[in-house]
Amino acid sequence: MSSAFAQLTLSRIREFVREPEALFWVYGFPLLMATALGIAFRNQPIEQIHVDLVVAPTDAPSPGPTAASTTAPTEAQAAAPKKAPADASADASADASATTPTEAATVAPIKALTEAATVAPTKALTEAATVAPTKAPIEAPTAGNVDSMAAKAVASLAGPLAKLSRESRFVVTRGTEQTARQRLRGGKTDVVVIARDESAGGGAADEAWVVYLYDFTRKESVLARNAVEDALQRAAGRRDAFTAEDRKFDEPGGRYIDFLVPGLLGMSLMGGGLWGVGYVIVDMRIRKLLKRFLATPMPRSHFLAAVLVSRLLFLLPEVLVLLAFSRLAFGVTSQGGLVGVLIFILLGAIAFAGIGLLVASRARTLESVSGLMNLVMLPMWVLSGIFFSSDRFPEAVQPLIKLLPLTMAIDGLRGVMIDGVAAWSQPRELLGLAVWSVISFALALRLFRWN
Amino acid sequence: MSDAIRVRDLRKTYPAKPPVEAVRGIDLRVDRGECFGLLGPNGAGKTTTIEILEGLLDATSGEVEILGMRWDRDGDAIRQRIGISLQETRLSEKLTLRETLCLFRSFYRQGRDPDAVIAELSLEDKARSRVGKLSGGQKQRLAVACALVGDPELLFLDEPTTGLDPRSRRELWGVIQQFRDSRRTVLLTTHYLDEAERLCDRVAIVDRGRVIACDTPRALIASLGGEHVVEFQWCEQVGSAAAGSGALRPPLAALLALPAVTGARDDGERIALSVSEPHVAIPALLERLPTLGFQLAGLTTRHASLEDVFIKVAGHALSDAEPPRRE
Repeated sequence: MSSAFAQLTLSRIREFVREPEALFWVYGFPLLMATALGIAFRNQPIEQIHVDLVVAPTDAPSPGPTAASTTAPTEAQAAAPKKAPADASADASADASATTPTEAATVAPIKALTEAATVAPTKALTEAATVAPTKAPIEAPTAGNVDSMAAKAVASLAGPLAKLSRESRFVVTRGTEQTARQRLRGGKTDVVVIARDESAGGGAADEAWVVYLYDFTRKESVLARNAVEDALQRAAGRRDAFTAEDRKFDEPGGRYIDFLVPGLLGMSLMGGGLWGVGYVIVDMRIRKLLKRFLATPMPRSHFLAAVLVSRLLFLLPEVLVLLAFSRLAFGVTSQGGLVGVLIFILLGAIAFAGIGLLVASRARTLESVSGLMNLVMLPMWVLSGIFFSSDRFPEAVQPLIKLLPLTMAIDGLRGVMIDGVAAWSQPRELLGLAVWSVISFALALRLFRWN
Repeated sequence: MSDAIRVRDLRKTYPAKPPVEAVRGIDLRVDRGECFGLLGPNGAGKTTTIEILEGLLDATSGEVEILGMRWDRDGDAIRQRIGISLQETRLSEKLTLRETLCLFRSFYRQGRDPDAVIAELSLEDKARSRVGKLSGGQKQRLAVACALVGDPELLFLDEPTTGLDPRSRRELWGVIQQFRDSRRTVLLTTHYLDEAERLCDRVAIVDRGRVIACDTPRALIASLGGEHVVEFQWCEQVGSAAAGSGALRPPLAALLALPAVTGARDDGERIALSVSEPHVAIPALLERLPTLGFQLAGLTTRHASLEDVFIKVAGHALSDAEPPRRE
């Protein structure tokens, strides 16, 4: 007859394998997550900046430059924006709005400009989310009116704004300030550009032409604001003091996905340990199976060892699937080799199994153990740097964050996978996880209630 | 050779406000090779008692010896030699019957071949079925099989047939009798009188945490003074000479004075007399009733049962106790 340990482990494996739902959650879920994140990262090779453009109505105080070169385009502009914001964004309506500026532009006294303006709307039709009226003036110089804008400072914002719309990295949506604010609140746009209309002259030269409305604390918004500002200023004629070159950095280990995979591994270690040990044991306690086992000469150490070992066995495919997937789909590799990764995975799994056991040591109902598990996991989900670096939290709490087992596991894994540091060169994480394992197991065994 | 079980002044008090005295001084001695029953209503303290004997609960005070050993010193040795079936254990539904039995077998140094136990309990057809697919009776037999697979000398069964249909009960009784017939010891709890009467060599009647009677079923019934029970219903005799007595019910004292009547009990609707010789007592009763101003409305006789013993010693019917506790 085989030993109690072997039979208990075998039973755990059979129970697990014969539970299709559990199989899905353990193996399917990480894959789904990796796939979803994969799609999210693949579809945006170049980051898109979402900008909402609001052109202020004509009755607003006009800061337009006093040195407007001609009155004609100004008139055309004056007629157009009244209509534009209302039905701007949709492609279909671009057609309708395009006719208005055409008419407005043809009234203009200077013929060259008129011709240029009539060309513009047809062009606008081909470009999504771009609206004709702002375009008309900028087309004017390029369409043959040679001497006007190139040399001098720009006369109006219309040109730069149109150029912004044409740049592929900007997704420009036109609308009223109210809807733009709403979209900003919902995170649908990164920055709102409120362009003052320049029709009626007056207004001081140093008055702002453009107002950027955004959340100063949101990284994407700050980036977007700077990018928009840069694009507009350049379009308006700003010259760079020197030439710079952009070089793409996408070495393995440097991408977000390389940062994310160790985080996901750590997360699955934590979830697996707590659910796979904590939940299972409480379930057995509720079914009075623990009590039934207690009435036999079953060595209790065998039981706990079987729970732990079966947990580690279930973990193996889970981890391998995630590692293989991220390698095949994104080329994520471990700079420090697989041994170090496995060492941290093993240590992490043991530590979280111990914590799972501790959580389950007294709980009598599934509700109470679920609550306890969330209590344990939630802070680590937030603090331990699964999706973003835990360095973002204030300096004062860093020592505490570093003590969390998930932080240790993830930091250790990132050390190996990204920085290529061997596991034993990270004694803090290694020892820390070992200490968590010893303490949690010792405490759990002391508190453990079989009945 | 030591007794199978020896219990002295066992007490168990659960901390609560006010403290619950589940067991209030129980003394027991179970011989080797006998089938011993703890009979009592739900909440009498049977399960608490048996769980202390099984080593699953600590007693508040008192002494317990199992097969001459004590839990605090020889826990593991005792566990190797006893088999247990708890009142409610939900075995893993995803394992097959045979796998479950092999698992339990692996806990014991010595034991029986799981297949032999399966055959003994007539579960061969179901050996490869998952536990979740078994009927209630089959699950219960599996629970007993898990207790038998370690080849125990002493078997503890807590309410083994509760909730089973009559056929499953009889099957399980057969298994228990077979085990006892191999000169091994069984301690079972039950609130079924027929089960105790049928299976047990000796019965301890437990009520409110105390043993209120303990003997063979036959002796317990004999202690009533008569093995027969005569039950009758009555109505008032119209225009009787003695009607002026005004009594609405036949006075028990007058009935006790009848020949061969050893006990009388008023159950409300009817009166039950314990009778040693029905052929003497019944004519006397028929003669006496009219003189008391009553007319016989119905009469039955039956053998006395443990229920009668229970009512006599506990002062209430077995079914009058608290409703069963279920989680």
